[in-house]
Amino acid sequence: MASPQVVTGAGSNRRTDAAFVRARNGRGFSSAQAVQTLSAVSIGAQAIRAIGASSRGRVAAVFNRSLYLEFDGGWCCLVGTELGASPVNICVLLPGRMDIVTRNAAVDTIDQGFVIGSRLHVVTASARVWTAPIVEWSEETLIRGLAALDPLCLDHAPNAGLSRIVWPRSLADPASFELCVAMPVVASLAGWLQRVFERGAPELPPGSITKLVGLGPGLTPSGDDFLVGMLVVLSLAGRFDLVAAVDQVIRPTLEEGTGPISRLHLAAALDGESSERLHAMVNAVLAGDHDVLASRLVLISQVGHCSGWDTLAGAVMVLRVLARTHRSVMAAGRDAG
Amino acid sequence: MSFRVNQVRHGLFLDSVVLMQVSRTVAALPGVEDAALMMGTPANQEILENSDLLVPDGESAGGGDLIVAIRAKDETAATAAMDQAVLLLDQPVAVRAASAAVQPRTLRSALRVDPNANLALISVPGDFAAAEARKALRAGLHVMIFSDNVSLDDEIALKREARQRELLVMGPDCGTAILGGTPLAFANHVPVGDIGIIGASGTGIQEVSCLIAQAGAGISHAIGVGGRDLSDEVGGISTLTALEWLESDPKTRHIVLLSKPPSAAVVERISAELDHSRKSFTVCFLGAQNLPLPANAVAARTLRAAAASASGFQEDTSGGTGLARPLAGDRKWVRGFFSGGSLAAEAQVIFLDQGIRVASNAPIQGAYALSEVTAGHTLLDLGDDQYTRGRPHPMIDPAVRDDPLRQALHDPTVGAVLLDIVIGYGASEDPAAHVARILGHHGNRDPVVIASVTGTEEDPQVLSRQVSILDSAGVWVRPSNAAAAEAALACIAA
Repeated sequence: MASPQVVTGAGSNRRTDAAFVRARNGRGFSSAQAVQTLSAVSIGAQAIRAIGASSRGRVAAVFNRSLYLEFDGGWCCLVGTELGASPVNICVLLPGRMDIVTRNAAVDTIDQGFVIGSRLHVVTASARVWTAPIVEWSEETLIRGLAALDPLCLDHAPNAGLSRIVWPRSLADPASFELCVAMPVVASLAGWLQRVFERGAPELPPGSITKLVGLGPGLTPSGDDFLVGMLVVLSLAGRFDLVAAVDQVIRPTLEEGTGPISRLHLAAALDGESSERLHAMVNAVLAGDHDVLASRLVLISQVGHCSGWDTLAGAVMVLRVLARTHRSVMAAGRDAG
Repeated sequence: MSFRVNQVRHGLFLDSVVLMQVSRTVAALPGVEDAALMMGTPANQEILENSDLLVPDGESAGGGDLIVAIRAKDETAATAAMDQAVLLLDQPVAVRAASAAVQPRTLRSALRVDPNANLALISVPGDFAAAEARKALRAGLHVMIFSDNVSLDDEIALKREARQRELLVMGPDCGTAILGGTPLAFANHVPVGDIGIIGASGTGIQEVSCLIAQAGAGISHAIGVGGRDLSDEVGGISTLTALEWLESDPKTRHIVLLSKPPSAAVVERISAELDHSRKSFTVCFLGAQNLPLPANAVAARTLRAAAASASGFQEDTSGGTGLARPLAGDRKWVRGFFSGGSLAAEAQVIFLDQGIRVASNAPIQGAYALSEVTAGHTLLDLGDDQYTRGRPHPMIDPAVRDDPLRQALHDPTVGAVLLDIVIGYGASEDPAAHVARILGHHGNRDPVVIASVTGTEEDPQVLSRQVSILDSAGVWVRPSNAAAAEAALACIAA
């Protein structure tokens, strides 16, 4: 776990805080309109990259409790702490709503943070750099975790999105188009993982994996969320070669295949990180920590309409192959013995 | 021949929950056959094409654009639905812009606008609610704290300070109040009358006040005190203040106290206060047995009994036995899905009082926790934190109930499904229609679906209209939550 670090905006083109506010007021902003200062408590790697390489940006999307910011150097997301840390998030203690600023409002980076329009001043100087936590686990704890997780998910997985591929419901329930598209892709991905885990040698994933890109409902389409979960677990399992293989196949399709917000989360997942909530859940499964699964599942289910479930489904698909592969290897060893 | 229309909103990013809500609303409009709001990725365009929803207008969308796609029976219906979709998509921004122009942004500026105000309703994230409440108290205002996640220490400190200042703190997590005929937050349009209610539970206040209204009586004030007020730690500070307030209110004849069971020490303190009062009381501490009450107070086991005791109507506890339908084959379990915690608790009381074992995620004394059982009758409080963190309360968005309801309808062991429909200010616009859509053509097949509607004719959703929609969907509608629970038990026994 990384120790707390101080994030400062470097660069010669930065102005100081006070100078910035003076400059804004000098350009005609009402000094009577208060600038609200928010202190960031954590910041993720993608967010550091986005603001570190930029002097200027804009507000790309506005929600009650979060803002997506587009800088020259990439995108990041300003969120209230209750939404949790992630590689793309800058978490702030938020006394009110974020939607007091408007879409396309200018964002200017300054010495110790940035200013959004004439409304919010975000100070990142004392923010902790968030990195995904890692737990000790074994095949035994993983199998225990999966065994405890599956009954919970069978009961609660939503019909929308792709999680019903991993936790199927009655065959009598009608399947959505995205589910019909994704089912054979997920089956072929599971087969690919089985092969590469057993043989050890990397091979490219099936080309049909690109059918998941941009597939399904939600601000971040379900197929993208599924890929995020899958990539995170591959990284946690140390199979960076397989992450690179997935990257090689899907990257050419990302620009046209999905939206900028989803691309941001996929890029973070290709670097091995996603939301704090997903990591907490995956780590609990890996460590077989069944007591916390139900409460963490509640948090997962609160992410988007079904995004949390879709990322968890992608993660669990890989975790199951990991568990199964190990058991078959062990069985083969016993037979040989 | 169906008519299809698409609109592309470039670079419009909306929360997934909003997208699904708008999709659902538009799909339910008259003449609409199908509707979807999706990001315009190539994969989603293929889905829309396969759903017969895509037209050339939509094909221009990129991955960062939103496609609004509608198929309706004719052009008029499609155009009207698109207009509605656009209105819904733009509404939040328009409403915010309009309200920002007239709404004060701080407590101080609000008091400048209306110096005669004497109550502040605090609805901010829990971390900040205590500070805002403290400011309000120091400005001489009574406080209703709608926010939850306020620490117990803050609650105690606020209530002690309020007591010193002779002010009342309602809450935290106080979702319902009616003061002098004015409903606040989630409350119903009930007539003004001579019955006061002091309650630690929002839907409990709603059920009792509505049953009192249906009996022809009315409410002087209904004061929410927050779910922890009668705990040992808080010691009933706000309940005692509210009692003093209603004691001195000449328009209040009878007072109803509602809560989950407090500790013995708090009961003793409350009883002593009642004993000194000149008024009469009904005490409903759901699940509590053998309460030591003074002569001017009667105990009520259920919310319906509390309303009956306060307003004098005769309770029908038959459960509609004559109407109950015998359950088929292995269908022997009841599944209850409640949006109101007190309504879930009241149903548990009814089951336990008839000697029927029951489990809940919010078990009252004598009931099992869900984790303790693998089969049996289960009554879920879907308004509990575990279902609502980061999501709208089921009274606002009834979709929280959809999945468990569908699952229960397909479960061959379920004989009866029990639902509460809570209407009134702040609640979903048409919760009965939502349930009816989920039930589809379920009709009179098994399992039997039983519901009650908490509300009045004067509520925006109109009680009789909600009952009629449920009735048409094959739901057995009972006149109260208690009666619905009794009906479910009557089905088991039939």
